[in-house]
Amino acid sequence: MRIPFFSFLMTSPFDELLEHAEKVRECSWVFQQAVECHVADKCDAFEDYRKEVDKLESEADAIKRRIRGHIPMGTKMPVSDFQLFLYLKEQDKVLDSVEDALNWVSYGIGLGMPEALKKDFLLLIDSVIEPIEELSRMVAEAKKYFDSYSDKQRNIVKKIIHNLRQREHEIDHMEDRLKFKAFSMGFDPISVFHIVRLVETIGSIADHAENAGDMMRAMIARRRKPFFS
Amino acid sequence: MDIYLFSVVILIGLAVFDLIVGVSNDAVNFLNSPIGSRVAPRHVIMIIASLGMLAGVTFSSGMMEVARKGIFHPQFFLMPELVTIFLAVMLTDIILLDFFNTFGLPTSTTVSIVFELLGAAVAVSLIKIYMADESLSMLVNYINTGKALAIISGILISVVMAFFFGALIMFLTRLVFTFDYAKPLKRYGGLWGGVALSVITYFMLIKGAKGASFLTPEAVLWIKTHTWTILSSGFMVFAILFQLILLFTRINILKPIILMGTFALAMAFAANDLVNFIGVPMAGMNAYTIAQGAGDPSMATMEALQEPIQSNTFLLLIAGTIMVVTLWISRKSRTVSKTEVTLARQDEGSERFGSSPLSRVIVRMVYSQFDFTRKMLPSGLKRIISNRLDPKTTGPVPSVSGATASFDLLRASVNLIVASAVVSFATSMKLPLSTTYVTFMVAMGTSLSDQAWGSESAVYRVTGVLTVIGGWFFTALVAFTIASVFACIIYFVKFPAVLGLVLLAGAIIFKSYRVHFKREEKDKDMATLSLRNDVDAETAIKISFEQTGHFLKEISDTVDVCFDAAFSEDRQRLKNVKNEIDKIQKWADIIAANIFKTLFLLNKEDVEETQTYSHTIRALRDISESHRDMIMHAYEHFDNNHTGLLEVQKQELRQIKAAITRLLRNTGIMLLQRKKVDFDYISNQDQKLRQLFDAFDKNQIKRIQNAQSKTRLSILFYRFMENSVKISQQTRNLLDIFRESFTHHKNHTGG
Repeated sequence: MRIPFFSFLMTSPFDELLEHAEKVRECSWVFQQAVECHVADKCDAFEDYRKEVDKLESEADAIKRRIRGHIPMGTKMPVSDFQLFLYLKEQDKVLDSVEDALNWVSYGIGLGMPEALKKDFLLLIDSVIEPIEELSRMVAEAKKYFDSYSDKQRNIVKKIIHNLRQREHEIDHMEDRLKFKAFSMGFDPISVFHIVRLVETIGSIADHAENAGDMMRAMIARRRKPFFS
Repeated sequence: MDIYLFSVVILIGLAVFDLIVGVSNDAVNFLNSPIGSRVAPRHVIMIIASLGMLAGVTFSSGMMEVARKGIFHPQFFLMPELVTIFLAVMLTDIILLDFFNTFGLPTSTTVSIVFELLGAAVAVSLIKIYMADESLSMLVNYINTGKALAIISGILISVVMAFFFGALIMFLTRLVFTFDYAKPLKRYGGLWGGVALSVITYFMLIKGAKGASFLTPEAVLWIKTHTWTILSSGFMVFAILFQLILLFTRINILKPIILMGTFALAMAFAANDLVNFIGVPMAGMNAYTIAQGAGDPSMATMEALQEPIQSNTFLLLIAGTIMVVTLWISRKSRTVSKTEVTLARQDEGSERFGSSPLSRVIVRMVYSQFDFTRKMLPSGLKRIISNRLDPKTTGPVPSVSGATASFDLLRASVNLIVASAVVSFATSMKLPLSTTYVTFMVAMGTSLSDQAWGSESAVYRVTGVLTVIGGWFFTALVAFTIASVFACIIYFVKFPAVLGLVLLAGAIIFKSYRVHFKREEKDKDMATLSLRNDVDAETAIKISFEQTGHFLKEISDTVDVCFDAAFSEDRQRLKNVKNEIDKIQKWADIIAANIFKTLFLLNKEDVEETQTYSHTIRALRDISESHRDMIMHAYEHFDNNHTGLLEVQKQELRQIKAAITRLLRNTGIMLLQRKKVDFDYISNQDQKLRQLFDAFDKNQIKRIQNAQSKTRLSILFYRFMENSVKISQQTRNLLDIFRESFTHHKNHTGG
């Protein structure tokens, strides 16, 4: 049974989840800077950005380990360990995808980004950042929900999850358009392969953000006991 | 166990809670001066106050008349009726005092108990009159109206007198000693010490002698009739003693005076105010014991309560121990003390209270009066006064902990002397008064006289004083009303009502604990933002960076919520964000004040850097103003039930939101971590925001022309966009300034 009055007795892992989400968000901004730099004609700072992403990734990993290694025994948590770890795993996958995408960007330094795709590509990056930003907002609002168990707060979290799905859907379309353009504009096969793979990896960032949203949806689901139990 | 015995047990339990809430509120009376002046480390002050309280408790016997017969005539009541009155009084007292403690407002426990007794007694009397089908004029038989009126008028007079004498004595003392009082104190310190300690000693005698078991009635009478003998001989002894101390030692005589005054006031508080907390339950116990001797306890009349009853010393000591423990651990007590100390603080800074029309009128009136008086004075006299009363002759002196005292030792000693003198005089004249009101008004009078309420703070301080005084009237009114309502409920519903009201009181206290905790956390956050006086320039710059970083993050979060709430037309969330506006504005003010402090700390060669720093203040102001405008407008729009944003507008604003929050967050992170500033990214976001603005502006014009978007909706849309652009522009400026100053300072320090 959920009793708001006793919520202060429970240990909430959400502060640390939020910390992790903030790191992911910060990392996404550096990723965006790196991509913008790569797309620009001259980019000297790309390696700096890469290092910055690596640094943020290892900081996020440390937070992840801290959450996994310090789940308090004996105190009641608002969600089960299992759900929490699943969520954390998915949130961490966002970061892994960002790192993957950055690696793919780096593989194509010699190839460059065709002029005709630049605008759409930057738009895709910009759109991908949004669900990552929403993630940390979702965790912050979920923390508030688990403090109060108010329906209103739950609806706010649900709305963010809904937005995440919508964004992912839009990004899928953008991804398809870009892939189509890459195939149809007559670029050399290596460039096409690079662009398609890069676009897919970037798209997977939004997929993991959406999955994280789904995990959160399960966490905030109302548990009803069977009538005859 | 019979129902009345159970009620008496509840009364005793309530007494414990009442002691806790009562001490939390009244501790300010004797802690204000030593804590405000930081005369000694906190634990020393607390030990002295605790000893004073324990001494006072032993003098407290025989002071319980107010509860038993001070307000009503007990012979007209039966035991169950009295128990009803006492239960209503105690429950009201706990709720009321806890409310005042939560908001850090000092009030009088005497006034609250008197009005609660009055309210409950009037309610029960009226019920009795109604049931007996008697005339309303019979009420005067039940209520001791003469005494009640004397108490009320005595208290009101003491408030005016305390303020007047506080201001006058402080003015005269400052004329003699000036703000730089070290030298004059060497010269006239003996005389001052003599006056101070003779008054304080007389105060202790007159307040303590009444109940002291070791003094014979003849000795008490002698003390009462030989005021001047005590004062003059005390003056001579102490003047000689202090002059010798000044001549042969390096002891600052103001310190023992203040600590002695603290002891005296703590003693007087315990001796006199203990009745406010345990007087009523003890009277309840007496009533029950007396009734047990009668044939039918429920029909026993209470004439016997008119006879003097000696209090149990053991019970008094238990009460004293609870008071001492509360004094040490109560956080609400600190909040109450903080209010009084902050209102009397000599220097400027962030003010707890805002401005109000009444306070502005009062300040303007007083200023014009001062101007008029200044014109009337001869110029020579004016020059002498202004030379001697110039607070700038000495700066704030940091205490051992590095924190600065709110006012100096001289003011603290005047506070204690005047408060002791006013209370002693009123007691010797048998005038009832409230120690809280007297000490508060004396503290305000002395701070007024000391020019602590300068043009930068007067309006806020006057609002604070008016709030506290307003709270006193509120105390009387609410105490009377709630006690009478509770008495009626208990009278008719009997025992279930008692249980219900006890639970209600418990719930209210629990709720207020949470409210207080939250407020405390908020205040702590704000307090940590202010720069300490002992930081160096490098640390000050570092702190300014960090604070601005946190500030921008907070702006980003609230802007994010504001957009989101506007999209979903969530009025409640907009209201929550609106409630954060004040905090943000205060925060911006604190950062600006810290930047001024940083300017002060920077060397003269750093003028260029200094100049750039002053620009940050404008940027911060503009950011907080745009932030405020955006939130207020969005809230008002939806509060007035205007139509929500169109779907296409939401899509556009979502992009604006992403750009502005990204920009704010990134700048915040950069300032917080002082990492290499990637100005291009911020610049790109700003650029993007402008491009979006231009594009969406055109779209919106089309929507207006197509009559898709109504006027109010268009205004809302533009407010969001314009304010976002303004915030973005100023954030960029801010980053420019910090980037330059950071590089500049690094070069300077070789970092």
